[in-house]
Amino acid sequence: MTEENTDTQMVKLCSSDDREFEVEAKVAKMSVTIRNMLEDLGLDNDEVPNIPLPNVNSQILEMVINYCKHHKDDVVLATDDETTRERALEDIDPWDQKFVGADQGTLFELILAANYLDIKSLLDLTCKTVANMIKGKDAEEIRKTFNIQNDFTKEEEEQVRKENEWCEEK
Amino acid sequence: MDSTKRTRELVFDAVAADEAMSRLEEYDCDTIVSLLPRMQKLAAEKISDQLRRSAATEPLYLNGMSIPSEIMLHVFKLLDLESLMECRLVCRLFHSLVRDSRLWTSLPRATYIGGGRLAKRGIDLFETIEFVSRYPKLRDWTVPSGLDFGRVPVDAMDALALAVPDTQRWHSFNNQTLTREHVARLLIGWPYLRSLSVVSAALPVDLASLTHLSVRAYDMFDGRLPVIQSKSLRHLDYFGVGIHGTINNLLNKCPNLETLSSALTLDEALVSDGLRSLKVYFVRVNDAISACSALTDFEYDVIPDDEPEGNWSETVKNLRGGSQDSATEIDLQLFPSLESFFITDFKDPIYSNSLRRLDIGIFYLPYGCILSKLEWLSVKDSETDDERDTPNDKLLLKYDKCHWPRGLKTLRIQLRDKMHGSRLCTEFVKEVIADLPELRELSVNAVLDTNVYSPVLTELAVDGFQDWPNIVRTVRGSGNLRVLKLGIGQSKTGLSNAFWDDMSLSIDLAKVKIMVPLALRTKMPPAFKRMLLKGKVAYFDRSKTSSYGHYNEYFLWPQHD
Repeated sequence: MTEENTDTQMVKLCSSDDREFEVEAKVAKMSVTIRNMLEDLGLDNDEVPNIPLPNVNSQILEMVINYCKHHKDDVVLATDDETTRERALEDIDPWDQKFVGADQGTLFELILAANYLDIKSLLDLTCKTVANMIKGKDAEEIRKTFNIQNDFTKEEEEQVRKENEWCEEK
Repeated sequence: MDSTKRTRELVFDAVAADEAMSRLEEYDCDTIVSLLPRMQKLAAEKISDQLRRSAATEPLYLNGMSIPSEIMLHVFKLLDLESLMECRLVCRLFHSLVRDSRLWTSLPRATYIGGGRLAKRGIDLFETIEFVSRYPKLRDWTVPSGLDFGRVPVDAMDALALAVPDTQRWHSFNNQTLTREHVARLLIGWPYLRSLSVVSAALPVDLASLTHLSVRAYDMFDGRLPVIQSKSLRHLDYFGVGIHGTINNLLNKCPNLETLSSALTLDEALVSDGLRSLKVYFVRVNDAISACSALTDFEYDVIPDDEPEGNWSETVKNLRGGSQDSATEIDLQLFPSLESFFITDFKDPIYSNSLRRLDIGIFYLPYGCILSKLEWLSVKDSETDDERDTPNDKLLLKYDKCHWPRGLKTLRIQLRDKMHGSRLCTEFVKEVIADLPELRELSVNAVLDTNVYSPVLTELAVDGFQDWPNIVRTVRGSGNLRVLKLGIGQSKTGLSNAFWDDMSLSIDLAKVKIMVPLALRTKMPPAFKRMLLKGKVAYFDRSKTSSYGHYNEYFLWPQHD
């Protein structure tokens, strides 16, 4: 079977709460995890493969599918230069910006899903969003943003502060 | 016992202090004082050690969601050094994650400066390797200046290459013992190396697949750049007195060169289809760049009195003129595609039908300039202006003579420090707003003592307002305002809790974003931070420069913080 055929074929994705989504194989294969599963199953023209995804609920899976549909024709730039990625921290496509613009809970669930499904561009996008939530804030602001307890003792905090002074580019 | 008390203060780990204290009575005061630095260090190390050992293994919860550490590492990888430093302070788990040297792709600058591990005099290759190999992801680093390569056999460079195999950028300007044999050996071991900075004596013959090369002569007056040949090289910086052969020859031998930045004298007409950006010191020939068909950025320092005649360039969009006083001015009409021009000083009128951005080091435009497309202007009230000691009350008089085009959309004004805060500055700003009907963005480093109104401004950046009711009035009276930036000057009058609490009640903050400089971060009160977390106010980084460093994108407040 040619690559062409496998891409237009449909696959069924089944969420943790047993909802089924039928999507083009091309869309589903943006997930390396699903791509590997499909390869393991071996595709047959007659049957629509059913992929169980017990770690992703239907709300998140629907979002991930929307994301993949929107980006299915993207040209993947073969670049391993992480500097370009770092520089692009503020540079987020408006559609993507809106996509991750939901609440923090959804954002983190998307991260976990992107990690589990191994969708690099989505993981990058969501991590970038979290990085932007950290950038420019001081420690207390970061704690408030993510509801983190300060578990340093006073001496420890003082010591880290001292180490920081030493490291800062001034 | 004064010194005992001091000891207790200085040693900040109480237990360690008590332990030390029990033994102190055996010593006299001088011995105790001499021991203090060591005790401090011991206490610090003890806490560092304690932190290291307590490296939290429990799962990380962000707003109640359990997040695997590897994902947080992925996030940290995207952050700059300063944010990482702040993350270390958040909690134990963050601290231990940031500590993970797998994260670091470049070394903190502190490793190279006084007290840093790589700043040591007489550091040897073994020590260097031992240090950098803790950072397996290192891609961008600088060779220790104290490492004497005269004592390093060339073969030993293989071990250095192996220790940080992913090195992409390597800087060695600061080390003059390095030889071209050493560097050549490294190039073999570093397949990903793309950018190299070396002194000219260490420049290897074979540049492998380098795309960026910076070469600095030992001595500006000694040694020319050897002939270099490379298919991959795209950017070359050369700081030295000259090159072997001609620049055209260099361009032929490096056919993919896009950027050439140098202190060279241009005494030949260049021919190139690939060169996009060129910086030279002196231009001494006619038609110097007219045959560079892809050139868009051109920078020169000096054009001599007998200005070259003939054509300049059909393609250049960004032109940057001399940092020195050039006696003759360049005719902008010989750059028909010109969009932006930076120049510190000029006296004769300029003409251009394409110029959109103009950045000048003076306050006045000469009378008679014709700049029909100009919409972006940055000016400085500098010492080089005619009236060197303009008193404050002359600012309006100066303004009458400044000849700024009325069609401006963006205007950035840098006043001299002594002009800040005067009532006349406010009068001046009001006049500017009234005179320029198209103005959308205005930035001026003045503290205003009353409000200003503008129906058209979308962005206003000032050093501050005398009191906050005037900020409220300004925002309410300026219906299209979307961004209000307040500078360091505001810190004198209104950074209290009450200020920001009042502000959030008085202004429709959904419409206007208020921003303060990042430099004020540590000084902002909780009320500001509450609004920051809600996204109502924000910081801006005034040192941010544009990708092509042609414009003064940073905000022009005085650096008195």
